[in-house]
Amino acid sequence: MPIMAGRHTSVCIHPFARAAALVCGISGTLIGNCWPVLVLGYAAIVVPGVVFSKVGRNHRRFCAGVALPFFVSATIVWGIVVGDQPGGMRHRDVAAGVQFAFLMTVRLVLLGGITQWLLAAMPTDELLSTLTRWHVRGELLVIVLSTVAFGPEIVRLAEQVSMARHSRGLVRRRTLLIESTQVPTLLRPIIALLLRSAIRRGEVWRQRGLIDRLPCLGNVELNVAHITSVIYVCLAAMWLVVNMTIRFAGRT
Amino acid sequence: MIINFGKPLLIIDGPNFSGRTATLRNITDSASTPMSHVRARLTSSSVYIGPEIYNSLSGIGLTVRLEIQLHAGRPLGESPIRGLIERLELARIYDRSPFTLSGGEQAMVVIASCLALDPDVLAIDCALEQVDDGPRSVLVNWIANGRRGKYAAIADNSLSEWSLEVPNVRIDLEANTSRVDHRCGPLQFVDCSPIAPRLTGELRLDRLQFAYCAGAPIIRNASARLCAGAVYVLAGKNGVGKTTLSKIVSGLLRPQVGQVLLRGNSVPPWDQPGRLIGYHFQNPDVQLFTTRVEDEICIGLSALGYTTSEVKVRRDWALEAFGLSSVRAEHPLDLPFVARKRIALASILAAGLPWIVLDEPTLGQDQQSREAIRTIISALSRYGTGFVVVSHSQSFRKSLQATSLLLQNGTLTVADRLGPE
Repeated sequence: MPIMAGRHTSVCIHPFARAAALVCGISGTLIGNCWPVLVLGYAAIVVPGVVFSKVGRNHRRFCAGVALPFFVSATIVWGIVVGDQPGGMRHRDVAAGVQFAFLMTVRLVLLGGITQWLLAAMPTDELLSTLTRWHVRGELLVIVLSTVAFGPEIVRLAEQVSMARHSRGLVRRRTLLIESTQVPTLLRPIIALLLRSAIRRGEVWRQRGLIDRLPCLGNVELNVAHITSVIYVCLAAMWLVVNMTIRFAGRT
Repeated sequence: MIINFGKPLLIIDGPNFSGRTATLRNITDSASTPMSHVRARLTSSSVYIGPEIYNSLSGIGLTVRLEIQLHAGRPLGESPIRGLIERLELARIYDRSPFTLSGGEQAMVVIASCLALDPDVLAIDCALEQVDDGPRSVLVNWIANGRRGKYAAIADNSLSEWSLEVPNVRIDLEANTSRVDHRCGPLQFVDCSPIAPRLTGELRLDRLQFAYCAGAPIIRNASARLCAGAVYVLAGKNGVGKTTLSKIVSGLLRPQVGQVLLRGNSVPPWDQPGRLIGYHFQNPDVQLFTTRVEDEICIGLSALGYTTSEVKVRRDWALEAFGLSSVRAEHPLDLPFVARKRIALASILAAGLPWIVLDEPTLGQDQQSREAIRTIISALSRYGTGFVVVSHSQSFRKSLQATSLLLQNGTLTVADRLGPE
């Protein structure tokens, strides 16, 4: 079978190109202060990238679960309570306050989208080799991988505990509303199970000497897609240049 | 006691709480409190795999490939373990997360990973109980014959069912050692009339279909008519979907197509799970919520609406039958795996429901305990409680004299009645 061949290879973006694209993309977003340009960049570059990387569903969740509540609260703060953008007089320019809230939200959506596209969508093998080529090694690599693995594990654990409470008749129906009221009762068993797992896995790591075996993990030959890598870097660089030009052009 | 690895495989036999786990942990130098009567001279590496398979995973293995590669310390194509991986057919699950695998598959991945480490001594404590007969033989043969100059120690409650064709040394701890942890009493049969169900009825599975990911159904077309008071054994290979189907039957997972009917009512049981169909989880830890053993048994009973006196009667039955009276005030998570499994089982059986689904109820239980569990199931079935049991123990399945439900490629077949040979 192919997976039993000597080394596993996959077509991927060069790790340094990925890093450059990530840095330029995030910098461009943070520098950009013209919301129509940011929205245009989001629609033209980030949305296709997210969809192409098959993390569209996760991005939708991010928008609905994080960006939307942020927008609502930011609008309340800057549009209603303050009534102006930061540094302005109170209740002098409500429209500017709302516009500021919108700009912050667009930046947040862009940052989330870029991170999901360039980091979260990476296949496991590519993630490892990319991290090791970024000099994320040893215990730091364990921390990063544990962080990636922790989210899905805690979701599964919460699902199991919730299911077990349901099976014991402690929860009548598993609707979103009822389950959200169960969070305090779920916390104790989940924390207990996580602590137990941490202790057991600590023993496992010590006994098996796994920390010494980490260097092998990134030892995967990558089949780099050079043209795609160049396109990623060019797009990100353009993004940075455009936003810098718009922001700093008027100052000179 | 001097344990001499005269042959590659050391079999440690004995009942629960006889010190098997403590011995294995001492052999592998992983015990928190070394036993005075077991002295192991370890030249170098040793690995212990306990019954809590979930916690034996590294935790950073995002895929099965990564988990094994981390242990092997080199790309798998260059690892001598690849022959074993091919024989266990692990390649088909290479790109899946180890946490999403079934219990048996997780056990195979953990043992294969530890074999990739190539330790001098490998101790396996009840971790093979969830593995199918075929892969288990492959693993045991590999452990005993595939590692020259290396040793392994195995404790397992299904040893009597194995056809061991490898040279081994066998020790019986009951005969040779004092009991090191005897906090739980023996599991025993107690008259089941106090926990008899109030309601009984036929359960019908009607063209069930279920998929975790769209386009890849794990249950395709499962239909069956299960009679009240009957015992059914759900059989099938590791990873075929036994646990998934049993959760659907219990109303814990909602099928995409089809329905489960109790007493012919159109009200599907997933509106009231836990009130009509009890479910005993493979991993007992997820269904332990309280800080005292007796509270753990009572909490579900109170939720079911039993009066205080009824709760007391059922609690006393559970504590006595499952040998938990001596630990009634202890925290369930402070007890060993075998005791936690008993607490979870006792909590479900004491509820007196018309149907009970048991996922690997004999995990970690010795022969005497298995016999007691079988007797309780038989007694309750005479009162009208129906059982669906998932178990890898051949002898337990046969002793139940149950009707076999074979799950294969997502479809369910009602096979012949199982019975003693």
